[in-house]
This record gives sequence, C-alpha cells and structure tokens, in this order.
Amino acid sequence: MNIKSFNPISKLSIPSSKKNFMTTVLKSIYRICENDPLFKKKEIESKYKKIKEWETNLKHKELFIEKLVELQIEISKSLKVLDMENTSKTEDLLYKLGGEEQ
Amino acid sequence: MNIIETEISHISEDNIDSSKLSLANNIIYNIKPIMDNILSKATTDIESISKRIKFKDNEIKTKKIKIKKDSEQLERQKKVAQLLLNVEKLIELNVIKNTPFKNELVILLKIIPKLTIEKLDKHIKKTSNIVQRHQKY
Repeated sequence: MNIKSFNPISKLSIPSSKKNFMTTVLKSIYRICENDPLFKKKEIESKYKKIKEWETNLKHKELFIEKLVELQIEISKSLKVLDMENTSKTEDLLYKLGGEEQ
Repeated sequence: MNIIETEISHISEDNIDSSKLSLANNIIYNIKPIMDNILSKATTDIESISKRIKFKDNEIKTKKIKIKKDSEQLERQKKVAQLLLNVEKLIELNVIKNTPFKNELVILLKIIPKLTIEKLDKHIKKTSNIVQRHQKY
C-alpha cells in the first residue's frame, strides 16, 4: 500500500469542498510526516517493499511446487508402468526357463 | 488567511506559536495512530507471509526428496528392464539350454528385486557380453 494513496477522507460523507480542503491538509501532513521519524514512514515503506518482494517470491515458489507435482506424477506413472512390465516379464522369462517349478 | 469553507478556527498573528503547537499536537494525536496501525498491519503481514514462505520451502523440500527417491527407483527399474531384455535375448539365442548358466539365470530372475544398482550393472554387463558374443555367429 502506498502511504500517499491512503486517504480516509475520501470515505467521509461531507461536502466535496470540505473534502478537497481536508485532503489538501492531509497531503500537507503527509509531507510533514515524510521525514519525521516519529511517524515511522520509512519503516512502513520498507516493510511494504519487503511484503511485495516476498509475495513475488511466494508466487514463484507456488509455481515451482506445481511443476514439482507434475513431475512427481509423471515419474510415479512411469515407475508404476515399468514395475508392472518388469514383474510380468520376469514371470514370463521364469516360465520360459522352467524356473517356476524349481 | 480566513478559512471560510470550514469550521477550523482562524489563526491570528498573536497566537501563531500556540496555534502551531496545537496543530502539531493534533497531527501527532490523530495521524500517529493511523501510521502505527499501518505499521502494525505491515508487521503482521510480513510475519504471515514469512510463515507461508517457510511452509512452501518445507513442501518443496519434501517433494524434492520424494522425486529423488522415485527417480532412483525409476532408474533402477530401467536397469532391471535392460537385464530382463538381455536374459530374453539369451533365451531366444538358445545359448543357455541345458547349461549350468540356466540355473544361474533362474536364480538371478528370482532375486532381481533384491539386487543393488551395482549388482544390476554387473549382471547387465555380463549378459550383454554373452549376447554380443553369440550374436556374431
């Protein structure tokens, strides 16, 4: 969230002339607060910057997990098919060698 | 300046210092809680997103371990398939009929699921050599 776009006055039910005036005052106040450590503006902006970066990071991780799931499904399918084929072929070869009776 | 649009009291030159002080106090009193709330929400959001990232990291780690395990199993099954193919060729080439090697192959087929990758490689190499030797003739 951009602090400068934070304007609670816009939500008030007051005449627009008053609203405009109060918004101008609020903007002036924000300007005053800009460099005043009391209002921790820099800290807030740095936190929101971090949130934005981490949200992007999280989205990338979610996409990566989706790809991992797809890969996992693919490998599991191949493994299952190959395992079944090998079991059946082993039985077939044992039969051909007459090893089932041994 | 007279602020006629609002009910804000006018500032005259004689009370300018006290008015500035009063305005500053009003700003601090009214704006600081808003800024504190924003900061507190940002802090909570960061904690929440940090937890979600850690959770996703663990999920990635678990899935990677599972994929690695399954890939190793798949690799093993591919080697088993190769060994079975070689045994099949040996049977087709009719080179093991009534030889002690036949019993060896029967035992090999029965213990295939227990063989290590190294043992599978060894048997693939051995059977491949025999197949190649007999395919020449």
